[in-house]
Amino acid sequence: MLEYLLQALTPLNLLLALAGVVAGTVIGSLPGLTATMAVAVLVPITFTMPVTSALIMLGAIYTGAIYGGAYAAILLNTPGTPSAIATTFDGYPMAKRGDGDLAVTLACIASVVGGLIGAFFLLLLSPPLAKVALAFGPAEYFWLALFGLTLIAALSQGNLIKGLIGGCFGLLLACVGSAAVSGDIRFTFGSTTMIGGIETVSALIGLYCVPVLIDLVAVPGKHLNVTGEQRGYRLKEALKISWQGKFNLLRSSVIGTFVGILPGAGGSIAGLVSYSEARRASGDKSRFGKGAPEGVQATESANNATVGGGFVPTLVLGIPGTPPDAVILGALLVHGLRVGPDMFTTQGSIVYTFIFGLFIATLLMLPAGLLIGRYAYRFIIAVPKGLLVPTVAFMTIIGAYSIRNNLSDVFIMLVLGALSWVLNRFGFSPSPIVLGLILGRIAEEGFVQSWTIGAATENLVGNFFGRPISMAIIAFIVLGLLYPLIAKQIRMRRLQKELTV
Amino acid sequence: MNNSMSASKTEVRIKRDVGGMVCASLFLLLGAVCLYETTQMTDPDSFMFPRMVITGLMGLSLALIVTSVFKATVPVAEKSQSGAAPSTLRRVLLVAAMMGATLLMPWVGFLLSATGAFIALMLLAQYDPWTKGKLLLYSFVAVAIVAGFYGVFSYLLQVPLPEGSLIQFP
Repeated sequence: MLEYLLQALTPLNLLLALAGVVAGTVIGSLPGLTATMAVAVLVPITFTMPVTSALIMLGAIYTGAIYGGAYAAILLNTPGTPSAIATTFDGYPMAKRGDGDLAVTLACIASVVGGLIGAFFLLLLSPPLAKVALAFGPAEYFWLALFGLTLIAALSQGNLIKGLIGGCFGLLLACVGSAAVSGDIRFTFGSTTMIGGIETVSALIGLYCVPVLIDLVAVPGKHLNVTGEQRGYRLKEALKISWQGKFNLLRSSVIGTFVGILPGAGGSIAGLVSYSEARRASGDKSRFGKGAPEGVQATESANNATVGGGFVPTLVLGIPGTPPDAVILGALLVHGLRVGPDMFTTQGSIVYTFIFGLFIATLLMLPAGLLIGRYAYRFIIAVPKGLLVPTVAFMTIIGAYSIRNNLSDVFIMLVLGALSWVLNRFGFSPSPIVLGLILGRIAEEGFVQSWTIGAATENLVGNFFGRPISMAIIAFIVLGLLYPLIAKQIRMRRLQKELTV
Repeated sequence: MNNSMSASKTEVRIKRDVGGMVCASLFLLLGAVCLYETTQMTDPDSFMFPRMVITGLMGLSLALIVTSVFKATVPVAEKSQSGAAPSTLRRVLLVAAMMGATLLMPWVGFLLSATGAFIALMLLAQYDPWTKGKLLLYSFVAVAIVAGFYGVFSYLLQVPLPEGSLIQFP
């Protein structure tokens, strides 16, 4: 193992890892440019490199891009990548109250911890973990999506019915375009604009960023609260908070790794599930959504842990865990590598050098990320509103367009943005809509496929409820829904006991 | 006496959620239209899941309307004592400028429409008085940002940005 570590530590590999992290972070921080796009755009550069160096650079770009998504989420309420959706829930409120610098540093530390834990699982437990991915069938995906949807209760901002309506609206938006299983065109009402469905990233930009712009332009004054004093990175404070939230970081990283292993799930679901768990485990849930550092820690550690997790099925089974993994898998094939269960033995030197390279890239993300984060924060608070508004608006348009090179996506983004602003004024938070939109496709695919399999095997109930992993997820859903009631009962009993004494 | 007075001062007034009811009614209407649309589909794989979602959407919207009719549920917003009132006109103009630029792109191309929208939004978002220096600086930044992003997206990222059918650059 030591020789692989030394191979990963050559000056060329270190330089490529650093360059990859910086490039990934910058691309990921721009709304509309996803981690997949960052890897896809930069992949041709790696074709002439030695295979291990190429892999290290691609891994570094990927991990940097996932972290970079946090900047726009925290400072502009716009997830730079879909993985950073849940980062907006508490990151932006922190920035609004003047703690944007702390939130950026916390996100960096959490991303590094998550990335390291994900890489650790990749190094030690790849073959057994890959079996978990294979054990997930359509029913499990359906229940996993439903588990993600239980987060609506937490995101409803005091009105559960409105949150649930928002969730259903999001699920309905996910149904627009061609049907997940049958391929029928649905809910386009004859318009060609929506035939391709609603593109998730464009919708996210619209739902989160456009309302911020609408409010920014309406009043004079600064975009974010800032105290007069320069407080630097606030690293000491962030490290203290991170140490206090070590179990949250660990739990979220493990969740992120496991969700990353599941093909098609990805960083956004990992972030949402870990956010939900962090909130459930917290003693004071009311702080979540109002700038709780634990929310940022949970999401950022989980989404970066998906990087290592996603490489498990990619390298062991040849099944990409996340979309960027699919691009990296393509690059591996270009380099002539045969991906499969025996890769860890037959091409161990390449695989293990790459994994150590991933560790190094993740560690390099700490200084690079802190530095970039600091300047991003300073830039956002220093830019006058007269320049900030048009720049962000311009980036939303070009970002929404560039995903599918389609102006329809820009129209949909703007319409959803205006709608989100109106709905928000009447108490309908955008987060449940986003949740429904993201989980809708997974939920529908899982539901329809399970139904079909269940009907064909004449075991509909068993197919949905009888599988061990499904039962475990259902138990978590029930626990998640009933936990507030149980906790309330326990508190009441304790109070009664104390009063009696 | 003082205590009761301060209590009445902090008491939150509750009103009927008219806005919520209007939104719920629109969701109900949307659900009905979509439900009708599903009757045109023949494959159960296409309509099974959407029907489930639509039923949920309509049921919840109805529940919100009923709850809001019989019970006041939202707190009355306190009027802001300080600061200027938010400008609705600027809000509308922002959306219109972004929408207009997107609509114009197929005709005048990305560069012209984006630069126009950038300048329009710059004027909209500026509250402080303009000086010559500021105007010059901001215009330079606007052109630099639009041209810079145009270069990065079209040449580096190979994204084919819209070319105008009426005005074309060499």
